[in-house]
Amino acid sequence: MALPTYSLNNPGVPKYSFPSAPDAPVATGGKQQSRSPRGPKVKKSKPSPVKSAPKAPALDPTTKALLDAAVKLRFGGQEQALGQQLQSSARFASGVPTWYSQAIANIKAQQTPVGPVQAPTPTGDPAADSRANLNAAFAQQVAQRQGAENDFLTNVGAGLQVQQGNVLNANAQQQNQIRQQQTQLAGDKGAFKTTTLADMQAEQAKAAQEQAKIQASLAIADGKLGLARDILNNVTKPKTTAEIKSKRSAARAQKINAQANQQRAADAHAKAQRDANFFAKHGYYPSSSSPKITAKAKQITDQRKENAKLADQTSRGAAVLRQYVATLKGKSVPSRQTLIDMLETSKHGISHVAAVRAVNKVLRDLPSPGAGLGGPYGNGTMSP
Amino acid sequence: MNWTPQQLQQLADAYSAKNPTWTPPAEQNAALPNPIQPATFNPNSDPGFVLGNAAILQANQNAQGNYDYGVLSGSQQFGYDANGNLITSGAGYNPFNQAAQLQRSYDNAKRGTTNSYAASGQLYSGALQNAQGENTYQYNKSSDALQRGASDYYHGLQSNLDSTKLAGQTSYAQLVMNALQNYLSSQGG
Repeated sequence: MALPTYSLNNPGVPKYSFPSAPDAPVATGGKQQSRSPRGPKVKKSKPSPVKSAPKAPALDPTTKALLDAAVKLRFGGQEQALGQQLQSSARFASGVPTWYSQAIANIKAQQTPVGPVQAPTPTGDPAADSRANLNAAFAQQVAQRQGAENDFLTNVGAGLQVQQGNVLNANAQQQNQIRQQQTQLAGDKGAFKTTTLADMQAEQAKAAQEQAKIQASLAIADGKLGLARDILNNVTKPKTTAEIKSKRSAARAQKINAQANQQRAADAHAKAQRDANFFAKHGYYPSSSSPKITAKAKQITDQRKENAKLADQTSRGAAVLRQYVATLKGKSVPSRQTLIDMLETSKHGISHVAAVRAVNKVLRDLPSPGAGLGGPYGNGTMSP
Repeated sequence: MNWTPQQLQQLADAYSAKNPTWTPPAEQNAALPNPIQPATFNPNSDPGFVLGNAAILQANQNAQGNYDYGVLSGSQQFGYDANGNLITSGAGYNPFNQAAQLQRSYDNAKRGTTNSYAASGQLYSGALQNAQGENTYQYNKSSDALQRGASDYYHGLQSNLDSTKLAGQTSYAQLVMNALQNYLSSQGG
């Protein structure tokens, strides 16, 4: 299966979110329930005594479309053939009684009614009665032959009735077999979906990992160590079955949060539009009706500025540290005071503890540990 | 949008009307349209039946023709019909049939006997009565033999006709069964 390429930088390439909790069997249809975390309470129906199967999580539309296409490609022909067989079989069964009745009626129409035997008219001579009896006997024999033929046709009709029952039984058996095959096919489809979905997720996770590694490498090259760490920590790993199951509820909550965020974004967009219209009309923006929201917005802005400042300091601190390490690895070993001075210089960029640890590592790697340093720990290292 | 069962039925009926070969899938929960009426079994649509039945009809027609001709011929030959009745008119009447000849011979014998006994002066003798009694006996004997021969002849004709027709009925039933089997096979059975 051709999977889509992943790109963290190219927004033009479609990105697929990973299905939250795929597990067999995977349902591809059905109405998806959306529920707000603080929405109105839904009256719960009385639970059925029969334990129903757990509802499979919904897939995102793109993955679902890919999965459905794969299933259709793999099982579509077989499914259609079975459906047609079942239709044909059912239609056949519905017609059998009529057809047999028509055939039986057709055969019975051949039956000739056996009427009374007409005796010949006596002529008055002494042998007339004996000849009349002879003719009557012959007529009776004719009637018996026709009667036997009628009985034969009746038996044929009865045989057809029995055969009709046999045909219907065979047809019912055939339909059962087709339904069994359909059930088997449904199971195969479920297994195929599960396997295919797992393969897709594995490929997706693998691609995402590769992309994350690339991004992390780029970040490291730019000196953005924190960003690299975040990227590597956030990279999606292939989920095990246990992880997939455990992520179901989390994914559901994530979906709810996403919907809430989407709603908030829509509200914010609407408010911005209203403010822009107000500005266009009055030449100034309307004051916020909620001081609490204004304070919160200011707090968020300040926090964002502070974060940017810290990131800049981190970058600069790292550069100082790299320069410092390069200096240490050179032939001129600085004195302890020099190190402290350099740390003082960079302490606004990185945490003091981290800097001390980094320096200690450098000191341990030096050719002659502790030479000229005289640290309080005897080996030239510093205490944080 | 929630469809009511009535709307689903209307939708299914409309689609089914435009697509006669369509039948809804068995697992569909929606109301099913009226089932498509299966085709009617007609044995005359089976080539084997048509051919066999034509042969049966031809055999029956031939047998009936032979019977009719035989009855007419026998009537004109014997002077008696299939029921033993003397034929005195109609298409089967022949003035020279055997019954008429026998009757004429009998009449001549009676007249000759009367004349002979009258010429000898024994017109009212008991000997004439005895001679006439012998004439009647001989006539009845010949007439009985003639009528039995005619009866056997007609019985033979009737048996041939019945045999052909009964065999045709048996063959017809077999042909219908074969046609039904072919039809069931054509319908997916």
